[in-house]
Amino acid sequence: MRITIDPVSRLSSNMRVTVELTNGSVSTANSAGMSYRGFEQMLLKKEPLDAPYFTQRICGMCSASHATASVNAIESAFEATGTIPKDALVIRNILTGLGWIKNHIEHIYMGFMPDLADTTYQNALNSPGLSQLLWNELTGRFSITSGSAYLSALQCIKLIGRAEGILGGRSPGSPVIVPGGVTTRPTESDVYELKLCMSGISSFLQARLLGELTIDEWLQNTHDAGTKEFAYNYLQGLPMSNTNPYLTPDNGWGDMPLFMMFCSKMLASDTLSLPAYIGLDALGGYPLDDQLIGFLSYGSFYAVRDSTGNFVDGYTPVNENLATSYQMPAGFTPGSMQNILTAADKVDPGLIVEQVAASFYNYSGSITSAPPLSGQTSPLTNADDIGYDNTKYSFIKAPRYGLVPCEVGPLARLINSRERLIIDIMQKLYQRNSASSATYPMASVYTRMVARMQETLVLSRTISQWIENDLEISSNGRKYSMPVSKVPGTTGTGMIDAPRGALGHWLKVDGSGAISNYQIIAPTTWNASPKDGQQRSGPIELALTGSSTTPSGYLPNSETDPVGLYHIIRSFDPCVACAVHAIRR
Amino acid sequence: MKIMDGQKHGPAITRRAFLAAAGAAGATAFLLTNAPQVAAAIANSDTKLVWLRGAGCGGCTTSLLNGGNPEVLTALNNITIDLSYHDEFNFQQGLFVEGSPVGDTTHNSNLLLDSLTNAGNYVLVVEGAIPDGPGGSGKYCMSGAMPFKQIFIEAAGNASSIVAVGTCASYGGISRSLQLTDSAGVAFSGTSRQQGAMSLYGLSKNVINIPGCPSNPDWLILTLADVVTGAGIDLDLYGRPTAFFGGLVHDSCPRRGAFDRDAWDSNFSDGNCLYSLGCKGPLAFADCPTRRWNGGVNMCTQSGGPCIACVEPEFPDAFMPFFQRVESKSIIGDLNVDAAAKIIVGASVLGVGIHAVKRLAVGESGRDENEKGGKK
Repeated sequence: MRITIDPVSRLSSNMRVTVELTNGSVSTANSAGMSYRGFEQMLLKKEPLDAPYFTQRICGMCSASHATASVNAIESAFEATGTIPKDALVIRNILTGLGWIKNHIEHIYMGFMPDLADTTYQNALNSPGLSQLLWNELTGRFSITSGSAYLSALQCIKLIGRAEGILGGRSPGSPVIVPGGVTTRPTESDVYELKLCMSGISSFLQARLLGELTIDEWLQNTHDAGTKEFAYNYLQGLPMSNTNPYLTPDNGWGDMPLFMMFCSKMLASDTLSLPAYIGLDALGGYPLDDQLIGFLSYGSFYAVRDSTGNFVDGYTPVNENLATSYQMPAGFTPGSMQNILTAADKVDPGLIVEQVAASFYNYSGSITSAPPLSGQTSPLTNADDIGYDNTKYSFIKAPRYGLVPCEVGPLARLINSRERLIIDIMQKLYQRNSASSATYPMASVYTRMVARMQETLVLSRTISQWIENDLEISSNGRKYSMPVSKVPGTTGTGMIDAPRGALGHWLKVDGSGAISNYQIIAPTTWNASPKDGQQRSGPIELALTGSSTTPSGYLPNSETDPVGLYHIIRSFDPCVACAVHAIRR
Repeated sequence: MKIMDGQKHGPAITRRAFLAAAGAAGATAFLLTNAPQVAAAIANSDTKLVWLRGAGCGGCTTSLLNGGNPEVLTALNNITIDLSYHDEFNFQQGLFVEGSPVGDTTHNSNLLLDSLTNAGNYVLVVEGAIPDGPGGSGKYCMSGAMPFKQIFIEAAGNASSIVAVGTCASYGGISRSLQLTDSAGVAFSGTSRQQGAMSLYGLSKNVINIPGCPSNPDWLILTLADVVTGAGIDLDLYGRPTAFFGGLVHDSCPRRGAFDRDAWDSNFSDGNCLYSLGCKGPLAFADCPTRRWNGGVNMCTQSGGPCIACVEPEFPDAFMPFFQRVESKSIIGDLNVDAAAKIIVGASVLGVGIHAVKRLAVGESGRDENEKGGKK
């Protein structure tokens, strides 16, 4: 049975997913972006300094990240990275960081969670007692445009937008991040306003996401140090009653504890034998093929202090030592569980290539894969060649790290930084697997969402610290930008992590100082990649393969509401607008 | 509900009252101070809103989420608009089994859209440009197993009003740059009405343009309030409400004082007039300096960013390089002065057209001293 989801809603549009269901389980999956935009070609012969303004219009969500990747590419091409004032780097950090938590909150509450209020679960959770209590919480909190969490998330998103506006001029489409630094000089009242916004954002996260514990309490015990058992012990100690409406945030059942408990089959069912759960920890991993995938992150946020804690200007451009450039480290981890017990590999930017075997583009000659700076591609121009059932089926290219398709995003980042909570959870899940059946994969809908929530909390605390400790008020001698002199005939690379994962901008400047090549590989290019020349699937395709229409497997008529597939696709937070930015001719 | 002729959405708020409020205040103030009047005007409205997204970045939706004040759902609720279809807010997905649509309108977004467009009587908001390529197929942007172009044609045909939000939907914008995908705005392609999608596909309907890259959420909410109340907002030659796009950014720029005393920035973050860094504020018609963004906290030139004229029909191509002055020869290339001015500002925009033409004609590299004396 062939199921097609087109469009997948609640993400930047034009995504199409087709799966073939055989005996109730997905045997093949195609993920496709159905839009061609031509951004890279638009930039040819243009002024390199224009690229940050131009490329941030690839994506209305992550515009500050695109701007930052772009200025990094330009500043590395023009050998200016060493002179960028630390006050500019701090502002770039805060602006991109705000973009991350806004993206995460929008994804969690407007994108992912509403599917938990699907009628599938109303039917599954209809027994009196805990089941109905849980369903009442899910629908009361997460229903589209009416749930309590959904509505307060809208308020929080607006507050983050306000904070971005204070520092960024406006959001999205901020003009502040430019080659050489930033344009703004924050005043005392700007900084005060910003702190007020952060306080409101933190209140939302505390009251909504956590419920009872403060952000500090939660992070000190799960992220910074503490016992491995803290999170699960905490969850098991929360009040639970079959008769009273105890599953409320002020009883500790914030959205994150609620999700961590009741969306884990391992915890709710295997461990506690609760009658109500949704098995998202057994859904959307790579159980059959974990060696076919890797977790990749480029790192993010400039280090603005040296090893003694003093401020320093400038940053290290992308080199073979990407791991040391940022506050949040870069890394690569192959997809099998044993690899998380040792440190992540360094990222070698030279291993990144793209293929177009299944994409609506052609390489000339005998080339089958190309690194970003020397890609030769052209979009198909014959309309008949653009269809759904051909060998080529997507406007998204297929990036590979060496030969490996990679998952990128919060989970990949937390795996590569060996974040305590997510590693603990993955180990607990892994220990439940028997030799014969891997019920609980390390990457799943569950671990992706927990990682996104945990990262939101970590980053909100970090941004508050940046504002408190790093952001200084404008004074006469303080520099926010340095002149950048163009160097003809050079190349530059900007690799950072954006909210949804690894983002690279590659720039080539010709002898006259104009752009001769501009290539972008966006996070969703990785996650929603189509197949490559060797028929290796992209991460979303691979995660769908072997899954079914609901977390409990195939149920009669569930093809008319295959919520399990929606969970899997959305757990990657795809942004097709970014992924199909496309291609130079 | 049956809509009576000539009584489309209840008694209309007067145009004068609407414009006075819309021009002077943000959406919050408008909705608060005019609440009884607006409420009376829209008491019987059951306006549905269908929001389609073509080739774009989703930034205008993000802008609405970031900066709408009150937040978007409350704002729409206050003007009694029912957000019936928007892929960012839809619970539904497009869903096919063996190639045929399945489910119902509560689960299948394609069926929902069909049912809404068939029923008619909705305000259509379009975000993003409408690609025609390759070769007239529209396949450079597809959704729900058909070209977006086709979806647009059907939705526009039955809409009671059409609003284009953002520069892509208004004029093609960045999606139309270099015409790689043969994209057009709803009613215009650049400054050309004939090349706009409506005209290309034989549709004839009034379209209100709310440009901006992104558009300001106030502009959109107030325009929708106007549509619901039937006040009949005044539009300029490029379909923009003059209440928001009637004055130049430059004229009320927070840095105007620096311009007046010849204090120019030579580097970013110097804190003075940005004209020397390529600011296109003298060519851009928008009320950003008075309305400002994200709940009124800031705007581009205030934060040190040169205006890039993102609300203008020929954005971005005519305004690049962004950091070079408008008189700079490299913008103009081989074009003569008249043609260049036409591209930059559009022939009808007399005040600034004259301004720009004069600058181009005399090849000035700095500020025109005569104008300074004559104009102030």
